[in-house]
Amino acid sequence: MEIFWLLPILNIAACVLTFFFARSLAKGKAHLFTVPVVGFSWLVALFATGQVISGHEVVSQSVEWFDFGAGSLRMGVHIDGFAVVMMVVVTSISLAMQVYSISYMRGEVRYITYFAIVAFFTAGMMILVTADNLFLAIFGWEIMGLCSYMLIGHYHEDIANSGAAIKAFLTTRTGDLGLLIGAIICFWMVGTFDIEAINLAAFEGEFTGHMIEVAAIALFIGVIGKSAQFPLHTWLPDAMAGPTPVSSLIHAATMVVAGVYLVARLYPVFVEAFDVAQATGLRSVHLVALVGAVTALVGAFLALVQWDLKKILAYSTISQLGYMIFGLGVGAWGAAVFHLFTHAFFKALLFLGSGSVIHATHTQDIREMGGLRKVMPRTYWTWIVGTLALCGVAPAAGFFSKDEILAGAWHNSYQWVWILGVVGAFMTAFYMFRATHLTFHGEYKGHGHPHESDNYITGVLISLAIPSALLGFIGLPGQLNRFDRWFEPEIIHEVVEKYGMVKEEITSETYLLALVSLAVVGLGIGLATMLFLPKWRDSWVPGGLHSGWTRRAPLSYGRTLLENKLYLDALYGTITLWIRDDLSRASYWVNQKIIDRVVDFAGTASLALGRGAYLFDQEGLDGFYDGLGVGANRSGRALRSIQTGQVQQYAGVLIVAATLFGIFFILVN
Amino acid sequence: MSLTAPLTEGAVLATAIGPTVAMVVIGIVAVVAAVHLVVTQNVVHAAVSLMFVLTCVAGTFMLLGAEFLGWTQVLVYIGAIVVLFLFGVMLTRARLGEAELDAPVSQRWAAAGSALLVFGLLSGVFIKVFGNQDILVLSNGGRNAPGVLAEPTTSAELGNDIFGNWVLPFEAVSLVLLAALIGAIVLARRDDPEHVRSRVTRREIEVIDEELGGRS
Amino acid sequence: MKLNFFLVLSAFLFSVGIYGVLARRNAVMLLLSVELMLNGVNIALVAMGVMVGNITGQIFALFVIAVAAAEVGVGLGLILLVYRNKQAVNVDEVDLMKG
Repeated sequence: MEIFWLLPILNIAACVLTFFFARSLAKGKAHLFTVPVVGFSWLVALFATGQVISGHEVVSQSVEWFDFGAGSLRMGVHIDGFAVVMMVVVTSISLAMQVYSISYMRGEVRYITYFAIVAFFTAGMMILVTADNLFLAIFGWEIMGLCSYMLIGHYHEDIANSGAAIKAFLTTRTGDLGLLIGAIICFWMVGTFDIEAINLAAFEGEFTGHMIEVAAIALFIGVIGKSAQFPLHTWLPDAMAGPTPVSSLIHAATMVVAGVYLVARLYPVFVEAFDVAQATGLRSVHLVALVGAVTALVGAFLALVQWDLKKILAYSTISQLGYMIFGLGVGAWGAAVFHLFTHAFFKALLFLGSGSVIHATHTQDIREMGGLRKVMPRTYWTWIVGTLALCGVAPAAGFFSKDEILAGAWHNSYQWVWILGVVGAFMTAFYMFRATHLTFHGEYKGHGHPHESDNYITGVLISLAIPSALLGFIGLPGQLNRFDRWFEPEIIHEVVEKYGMVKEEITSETYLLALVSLAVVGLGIGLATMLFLPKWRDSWVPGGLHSGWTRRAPLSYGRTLLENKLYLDALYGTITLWIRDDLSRASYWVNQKIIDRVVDFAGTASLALGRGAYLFDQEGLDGFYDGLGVGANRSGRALRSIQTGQVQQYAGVLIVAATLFGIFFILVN
Repeated sequence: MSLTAPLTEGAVLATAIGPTVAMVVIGIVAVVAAVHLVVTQNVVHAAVSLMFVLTCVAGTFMLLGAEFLGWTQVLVYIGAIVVLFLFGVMLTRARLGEAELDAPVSQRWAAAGSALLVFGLLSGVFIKVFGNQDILVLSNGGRNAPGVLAEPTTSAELGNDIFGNWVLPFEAVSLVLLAALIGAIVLARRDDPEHVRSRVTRREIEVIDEELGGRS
Repeated sequence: MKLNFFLVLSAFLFSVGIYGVLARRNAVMLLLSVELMLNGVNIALVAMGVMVGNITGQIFALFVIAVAAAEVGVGLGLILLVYRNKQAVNVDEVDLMKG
């Protein structure tokens, strides 16, 4: 436990070594440097988990980073149960993804750079989850943003990919501004960046005025950007331009949950600011729950109409992140973190499975797949495990975690959130089985002869399928829940106790809620099977699904809306265009009409004064208009002669003017 | 040893005579070199004059007790920046020895006027404000090492202050340097291989032409 | 030793630098003159720092040196670019901003 600070440094060292020596020392086999390091990190994380379970106390150690006069900044680690859970997630998925990449990326461009950046990313995520202060956490957070940018743009020869990378970077940066402001407000209020101290200060109400609300909103903006919450979610589907293993590590399991991690880590701040616990109070702003629930629903809706396998998973990730966020928003801390934990495994499994499929078929369009069950049995069965876990079918992992969130919403009197969540669960089942049927069942509709991937890939898929299926059992409801007991930090426990947030006993209501959501999921699976399983579809929907009734109003309106991603991209594009075109046109207009008019007027006035009487006599109004033109012309020419474009002239004017001002002030004094 | 410890006139004179001579020499060299820099018609001569000025400034720093700064001046300025300038001169192949370095006469008169104005203002203010202010009295209470005006500042002191009180400006400067580094690379690199090739051929043609011209 | 000795030297270097910036047409010469101005300022900073007895002046001078290095790097990059496009480095030929 005491050597935890070494892990990020080891990974950074692996990154540097890979970058500089992989070509010369390992003949380009970059994974020889990074995989052992991440494997070691994984073992240490497992060991630490064992220690935490057996009751090891929290490790907190730090050294002074630098002193900036007004105070000093420390750098250190804080390893509690929550950090350990995150470490297990990061190292497991990173290890799986790197082993997978050995096969998946073989022979691709920039193989060495790829592994180096992945190692760097792993280090960044570990810095974030083990950091004991906000400043260090932001440090790791930004490392991840940078690596995400570089990996999305891995194939930057295609201009669309580098566009997607820039979009992801800028969108998350927009949020990061909020994060930075929030951190600075916390520092201002508490006098330190230390996370424990900030949590304690928030818990004991030491924030003055409304600063805690401001801080929480600012931090939450950072969360919205990083965790792809509505309305800043549009970057995540585009981020699928990166290699598929990258999508599984960064854009499903780890980086995008950084926002969820932040809310969970600074939970007292958010609870106190948004009155999470007082669901019935009218004055409360349930920002976290609202944003999360809307995101869960919007993501699921948008996943319905995608034809790109990876984009379906991307929207699904957005939706699941929404579940985690609203889980935190309704006060179900343990459930939300547990969902983060299980989701990392089954969503990484699904992404890596989709990578296996894409590797075999050379397309991402599910309309060109089909029938892959026979040729890719291992990929198929692991995919099924992941899908069942994501849909929340008992006893796979997703069932326990998602149901716990929904139960938490119900018990903490957030019934409206519960309804949205159940609708989302229905849609999740629907879109996942739509994808499954179109990809794996029926006849193959693509080109070539797909075949099963090699042992690296299938081995990783199988080793991820096992936790996806079984991990749920450590998070059983009520008294049987081991997860909370092992991993919940002290301060969270106090918050939960103080407000009496969900720690429900197992009652008949628990079973009823679980049955309802199971029934809803079953309904979704059934409907999707009816509509998309090729064997059944023709008997239910004569004429094919996409030729007949879905093209008619009002369903077609819904389809168009969803296929255009709720027009959000168009909206953002329009705003940008508006700023670029209309605003500049407006300023041009102001320039042309108003400023020129003023200049015109000055010219006209001087002319009118000089020759006014004569002109009025001789030419009348004709002359006046002539004079208007002439005056504009002359004043323009006179002003123009100042703008010579000669820098030295400008510099000379500047220097002389500054000197004269200096002399003037000296004389005045 | 307090700053207000009384000093006898004689002590001041005795310790200050060496530095004064050095300073006068340094000042004269600096002035001559600076003037030469702005009137010479040869870019390389100008760069060398700048080197002289910079050396004199480094000497001034050392006389003032800023040893670390003086060595930085030597290493960074004379070592790096002047070399950079010489590279710039070579790369742009600025025509050596041709009277194209100066602006037209009228502009030079205007420039001289501005410069005089500035010099008059600055020196006037300095003389009026600081008058006969002696640099020794306040600086260190007479603990002068022989040959310099003030006790040298150790690099440890500078380091503590930079990484204590000035750490954020320091970080900002490091970012500025990084940005400048990247910016300079982006600005100066040729990203058009066609262009490079055509330039190379043209230069080769020039060389051949010169050789032919030399023989005929 | 008078403080004004240093200050007037500094003012002189600064003014000569101004003359160079305004009276030269070769861009490299402009940059050299800017360096003169910066050095003049540095002398004033250090001298006044010594007079008031703290080292802040020296630290500022260090910052000025660092920024000057950046300025030379970018400036020469720009000059190279201009040279490549115009085959000359005369500032009076670079007047795209002319109104």
